[in-house]
Amino acid sequence: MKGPLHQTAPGERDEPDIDRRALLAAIAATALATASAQSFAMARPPLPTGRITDFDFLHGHWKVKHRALIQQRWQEFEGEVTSRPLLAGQTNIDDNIWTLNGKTSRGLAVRIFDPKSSRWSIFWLDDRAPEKFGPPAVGGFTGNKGTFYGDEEYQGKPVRVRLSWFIDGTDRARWEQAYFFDSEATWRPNWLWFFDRTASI
Amino acid sequence: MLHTASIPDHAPPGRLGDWNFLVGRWRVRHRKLAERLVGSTYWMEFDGECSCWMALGDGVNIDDHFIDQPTGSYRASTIRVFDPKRAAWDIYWIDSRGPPAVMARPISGGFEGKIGRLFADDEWQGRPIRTRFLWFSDDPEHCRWEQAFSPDAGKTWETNWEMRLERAS
Repeated sequence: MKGPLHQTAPGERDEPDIDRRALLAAIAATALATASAQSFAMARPPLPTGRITDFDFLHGHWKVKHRALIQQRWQEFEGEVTSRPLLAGQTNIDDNIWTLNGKTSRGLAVRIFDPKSSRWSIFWLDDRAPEKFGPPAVGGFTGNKGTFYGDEEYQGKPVRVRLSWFIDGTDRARWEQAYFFDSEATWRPNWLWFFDRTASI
Repeated sequence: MLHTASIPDHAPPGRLGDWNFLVGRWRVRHRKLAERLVGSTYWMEFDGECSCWMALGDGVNIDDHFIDQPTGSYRASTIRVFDPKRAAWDIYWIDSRGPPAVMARPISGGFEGKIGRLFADDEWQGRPIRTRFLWFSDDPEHCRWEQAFSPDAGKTWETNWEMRLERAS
């Protein structure tokens, strides 16, 4: 392979145009590294912290409208969630059910608060793979917005995941899951949940 | 090593419905060995409370414990998940004292009649151990649980924690 630097004969001083080419290559490499560092920073910002009361708003029964990106098409469907506190509020568990194209699925979200780091770890398990919990998404709420980051697998490849919560008053909330795509340096949402409270618990 | 020679060292298959007996609220009497795998014979006895419910249809069972241990009360929760492919229940434990995680290695098994046997390969203070849970669903108002560790791959077992549960409602 012949790069610009290899065109200089041993013992010969660099020609100015070769210098320039080397400089351009160095600039290009730096730009790539900067883009990749920016991409990395977007995918892995500092993990938000929160409080043990962050999910108190969620305790109760909810109807959920789902919008999910499935094979590059957005599909809408419905579900229900019941969320309960455990461990005197240090943990909470959501019991989810949804029906998509006539097929009913169920999933469990388990959230555990770590008083040492002031962060929640969110674990997910569903009836497609009940043999294990996935790796956690970690974070917390600032005001009415909660943000949690984690690593998952998508189509056999590791992917950075972001879970966002938005509290819209006492009886409404939204949740969004997004994956980070390095090639575009972008978070792309792929699953939205719109919550309407049906009963308290 | 206690009274467990006759217990088979393998888990029976699990079935949906295995934990139906446990749903509800319970008063709990705990008996806990002060130290584990050092030949301790000192047992702490204390009270607790437990409530238990089903989730994910009937594929998950959850309980929430208040444990009034004299060395410091705390809370803990069990998540039991049925895996139909393996016909096994996987038991996970969350402890309010940390770490903030669903443990990686569940304790797996099922019931044979009124006796549940569940096992895991685990570690205790850096030593490989085998962990065994036994459940006895004695009658609708009473049940029992025992945890034992084996430091020698199941040759000998030391029971280190027992719970006697009496239905509160």
